Amino acid sequence: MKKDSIKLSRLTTYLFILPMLMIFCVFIIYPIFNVIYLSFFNRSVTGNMTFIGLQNYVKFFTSGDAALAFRNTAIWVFAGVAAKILLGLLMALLLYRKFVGNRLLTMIILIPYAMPAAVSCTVWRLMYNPNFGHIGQFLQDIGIIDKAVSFLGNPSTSLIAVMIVNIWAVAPFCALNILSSLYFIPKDYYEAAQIDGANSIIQFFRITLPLISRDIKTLAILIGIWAFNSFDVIYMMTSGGPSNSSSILVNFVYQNAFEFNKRTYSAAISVICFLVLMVFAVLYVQSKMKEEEI
Amino acid sequence: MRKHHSRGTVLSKVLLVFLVAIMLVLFMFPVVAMIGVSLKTNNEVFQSPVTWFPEIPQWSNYVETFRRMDLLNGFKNSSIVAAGTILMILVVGIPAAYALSKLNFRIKKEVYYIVLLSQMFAPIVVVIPLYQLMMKWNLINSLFSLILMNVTFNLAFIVLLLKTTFDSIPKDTVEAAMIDGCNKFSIMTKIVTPISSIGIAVAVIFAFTRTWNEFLFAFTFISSSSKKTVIVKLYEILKNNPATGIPWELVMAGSVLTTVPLVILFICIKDYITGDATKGAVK
Repeated sequence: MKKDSIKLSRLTTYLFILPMLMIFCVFIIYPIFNVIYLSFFNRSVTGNMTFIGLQNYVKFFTSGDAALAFRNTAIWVFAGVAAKILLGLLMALLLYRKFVGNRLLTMIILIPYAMPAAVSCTVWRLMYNPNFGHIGQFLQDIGIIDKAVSFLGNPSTSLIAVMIVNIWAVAPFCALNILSSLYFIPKDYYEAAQIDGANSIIQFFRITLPLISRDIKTLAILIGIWAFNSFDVIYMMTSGGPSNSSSILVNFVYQNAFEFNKRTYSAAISVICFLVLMVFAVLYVQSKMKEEEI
Repeated sequence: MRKHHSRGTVLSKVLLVFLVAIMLVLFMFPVVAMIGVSLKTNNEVFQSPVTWFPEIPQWSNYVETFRRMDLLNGFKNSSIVAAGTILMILVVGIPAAYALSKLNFRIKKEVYYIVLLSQMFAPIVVVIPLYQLMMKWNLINSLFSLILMNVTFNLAFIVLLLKTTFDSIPKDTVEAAMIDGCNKFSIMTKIVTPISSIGIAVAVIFAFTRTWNEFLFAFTFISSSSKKTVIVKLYEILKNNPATGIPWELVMAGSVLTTVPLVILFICIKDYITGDATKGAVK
């Protein structure tokens, strides 16, 4: 082959990835720089931009919003991920056992995950309704509460109430993921352990858990990032309220940009989100890159 | 070894049934509530004490919901956005995935890194500049803006999915075609794509469900109600009415109708959700 044709062939290779890279540049990378740029400015009602340095950031961190946002985000992400993984693990261990209807059950638990967020939020909002919701009625029937409680309308319960919806939707996904990790463990490990007289609890802690822990770690980072991003569920359930009691960082971005029309202030919160997100994303990418060679 | 029922195994069977029952109740009661309410009369919805099922199922709610809820128009808009997204994502994604899987080039590792990173990216971080960009391009309030956004934020995931599919094609197949005189492009269109039709079908289903469920851009970029997607229309019923003024039975009937096709699609791709092909990014 001639040198020229090799060069040409090399150039055409780039044509395969060019459209993708262009989309990333125009709609992700350029906007990132743009949002960083915007965050250093103040935009007046008339649209005039004045450079104000780090003032938007200072304003956010001193406003009290920051403390609330970080507290809620930490609870939402860490407690949420722990609950999803734990429930998912329990479900996966259950589904791993052979029993009649096992496959049907695996399909059924997929439903919460397959439901569009808007639909599940509609259903849960009805169920949480203090006057005609199923949950309040059930809790009254078994005597936990004695009169109607508005779980979504009360600042002390709103975050937990929305978290339950999110855990309910994502735990089945974790279950399916962990289940597939369980199937990768060779059966003879358990047989050997059985011969040695190890009971199922010892088997779980000595064989199962060590072998799936790396997959679980990757899964935890992934659903942690999803949780960090899950603006839609919170917005559709409570709009972040009452009085921001169920708002996480991303809700503050949206609220300031589109409800208070404070675009540049919102841009500063976006940048903070971006920085937090990147830490987790790099962790995730590194654990993925270790898994497969390219 | 013969199986015999000792007290231990009976106990563990009872425990298993018990745990399965708890799991079913925990995860299914909202679904049951949805179906139950969708068959009630409007009076029954607001009755106290709350019941799970109606006395007489009102199947007519499923017809009525189309008439009263303006869902058909929403379905139409969602379908346009989904179709456009799928088409564009395949045109852009298949070549990129093919290059990452079967071709060699200098910045391959870097490109792979970028793809992995953007898969983790949160659209909300850049929603302000994107809004301004769409304003500048006169695309606010156009379904095409939604197609662009859905392509952008699903592309990485679809490329990774397709790359895994293409990875399973043996190198020999590609090399044999090359010896026969096929160039890279025709190898992709005539050999790699047809063998990977199942993987591509899975990618289409994922692109469809993720686009169908997308809320942030559909909610912020579209203002005229004739262009809103079905998800936004459902949400706006909740937003614009007090809880007692919502025809819940019709909303729930609409919800069931929106969910059924998605559940069927998810069951079709069940093995790919769990499989390593997609381990890493599904929703």
